[in-house]
Amino acid sequence: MTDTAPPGSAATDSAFTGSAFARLRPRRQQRWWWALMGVVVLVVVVTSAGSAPTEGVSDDRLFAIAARIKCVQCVGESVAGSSSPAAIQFREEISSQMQQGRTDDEVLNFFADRYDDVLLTPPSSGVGSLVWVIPVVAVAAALLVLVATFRRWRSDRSERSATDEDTQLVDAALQDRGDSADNRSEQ
Amino acid sequence: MTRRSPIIAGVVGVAALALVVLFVISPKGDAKQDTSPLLGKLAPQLTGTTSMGESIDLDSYRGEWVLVNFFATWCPPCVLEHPELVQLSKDDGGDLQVISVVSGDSASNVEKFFADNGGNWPVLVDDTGASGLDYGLKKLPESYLIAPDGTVVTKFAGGIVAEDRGDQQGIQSLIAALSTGTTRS
Repeated sequence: MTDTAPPGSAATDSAFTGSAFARLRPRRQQRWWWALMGVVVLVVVVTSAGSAPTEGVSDDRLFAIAARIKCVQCVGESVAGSSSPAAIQFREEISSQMQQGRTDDEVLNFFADRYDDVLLTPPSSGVGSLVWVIPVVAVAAALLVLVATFRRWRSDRSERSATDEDTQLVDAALQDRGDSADNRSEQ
Repeated sequence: MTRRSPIIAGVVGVAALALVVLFVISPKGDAKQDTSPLLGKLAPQLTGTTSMGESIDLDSYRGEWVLVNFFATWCPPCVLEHPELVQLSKDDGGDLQVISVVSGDSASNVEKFFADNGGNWPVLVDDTGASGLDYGLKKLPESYLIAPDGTVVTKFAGGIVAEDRGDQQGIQSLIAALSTGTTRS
């Protein structure tokens, strides 16, 4: 069973003439999308905030620190994920330093003071700093493009909004349709 | 759409150019002399005892050049490097002290290795790997040249050579260059 209405019926007329309602619906939908995106961002922030402990002695903390240190005998692996002798020795050292009450930064600096480029956090200077700069520039550029696109849409919409002349044309067309329907029914 | 095409092409072109520039200016790294945060800093003390059961105090070598060499008897490049260390220990004229640190190996293996291959300098048996960790050891063999004032001046990744060979600078000429270039009072 379909729910279509014949041309000229009250249903189609009301849908056709209810332009205000039709204009409202996309806006409402947009709001829902923005709200949904906000919830997603919030969930991501909250879940990432529930990170590993930064004090005390625990495996969670050990592996969180180890994940920030490059395995010096491996390719593309952190100390947390490698079973190489060097990684095992690093984890033992991290464990020992945790037991000595060292902070995360103190533990990381211990390795950075001895090994070149051992931390998986990119440097804040030199060519490596591009890793920090490029995403910021990309996000700023994306925002600019978004703003420009929204503005263009808005100006397009205002250009496309019905003028008085358009409304009169539509009214006349509807009137004609109504007349022809009346004529058909009389025949 | 056509208005945007030049902009997109420009962005892609700039990105490609940036990648090429990055590739060109990125450091290639020396084949032998390596970077280390220890360079220019006081050399860390060596932990452990020699194969004869004695400890080593690096401070007692102040006034001499010291080459701290990390090796293992089971490491083929270390075995290849050994004759160079033997030559250095003989030819240095008393200015250079070689100290080896062996990791993941036993004192008896070290004694047999030296008996078979020659060499007579202190060898520290680093059972815990603490010295390797303090020096930032990545891969055997590695050597650290320590100046008479106790600072680390060069890190060598891989086998060293006593004298210049091809494009590889020998320890002796490096010490000579550093001595003339860094004449300290």
